[in-house]
Amino acid sequence: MRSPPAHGLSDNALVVARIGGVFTALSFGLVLSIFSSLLAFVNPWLILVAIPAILAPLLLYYVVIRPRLLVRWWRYEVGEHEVYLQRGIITLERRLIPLVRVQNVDTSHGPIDRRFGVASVTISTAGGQDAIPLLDDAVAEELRARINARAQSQRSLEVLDAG
Amino acid sequence: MLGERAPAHRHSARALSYSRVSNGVEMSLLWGLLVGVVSVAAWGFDVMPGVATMLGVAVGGWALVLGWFVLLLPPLSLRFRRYELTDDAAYIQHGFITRRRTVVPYARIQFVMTQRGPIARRFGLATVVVQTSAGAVGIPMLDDEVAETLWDRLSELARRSVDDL
Repeated sequence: MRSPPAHGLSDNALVVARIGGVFTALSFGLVLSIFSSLLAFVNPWLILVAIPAILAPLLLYYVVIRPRLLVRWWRYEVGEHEVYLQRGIITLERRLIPLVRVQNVDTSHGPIDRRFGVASVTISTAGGQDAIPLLDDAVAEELRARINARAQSQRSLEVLDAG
Repeated sequence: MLGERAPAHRHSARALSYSRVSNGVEMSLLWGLLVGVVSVAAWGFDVMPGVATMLGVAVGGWALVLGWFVLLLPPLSLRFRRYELTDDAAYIQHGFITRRRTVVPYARIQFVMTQRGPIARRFGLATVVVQTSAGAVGIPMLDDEVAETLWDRLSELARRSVDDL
């Protein structure tokens, strides 16, 4: 079996994923809490039970469980001909994206990312986008430049072959 | 190129037991969830039937669900699953009520991936998925080694095939 890709995410990845998870859990929790406020028609005290009962499992999943699973499998590597990605929360997925198929590569920094000096690199093909999350800033910029350069040289080789 | 011939290769020998187990687990979880939601709703609207009736419906329904998804469906849906790599395209057949044959030219493949779920990992099985700009086609329940070889081969064919466009 092919060995996993060489590089993992930033050392800060787990912390940043957990902070992001707090926001995800709270935003889902807010929506569900609004619905649960209908319980006030039955008995106003039920809300005091319902809101923690909704938030606790959401926080447990998005802050404790999911970040650890995300960081466990996320790995990447740029080979001679392909970008090799491994990811998954429950299902393990490994992708080989041929460099000749890469359309464009970008880096992006969210508000939490900026405070921790991390960024994500998005690789687009006609089949969709793949974002490698939670990389150190410098690593992300270098990776974007490298994938772009290799994709370009692979495409020009292809043109030479075809011509 | 293809003619009337079905694709040459089949899934793993362990595919049948795997699909029985994974269907059984997935459908039991779904059934449990459904029973839970209906019970809570019945309690909320104050229309709870007797305990014997509820248990009877829950267990009887579960038996029917398992009978279909574990005993009957897996052999039927596996029967027509086949795949083959031809000179210029991946050729895949699946479905059992409607039989479908899909041809994906290598030049149109954007990338190729393998997927392994928690139950598949215990069976040593994997799915190979071919992504085009129009969607994805999967070849499920292959032996790990077969899937790895197919993945490598398809990726190489994809990057070597130049589109005329």
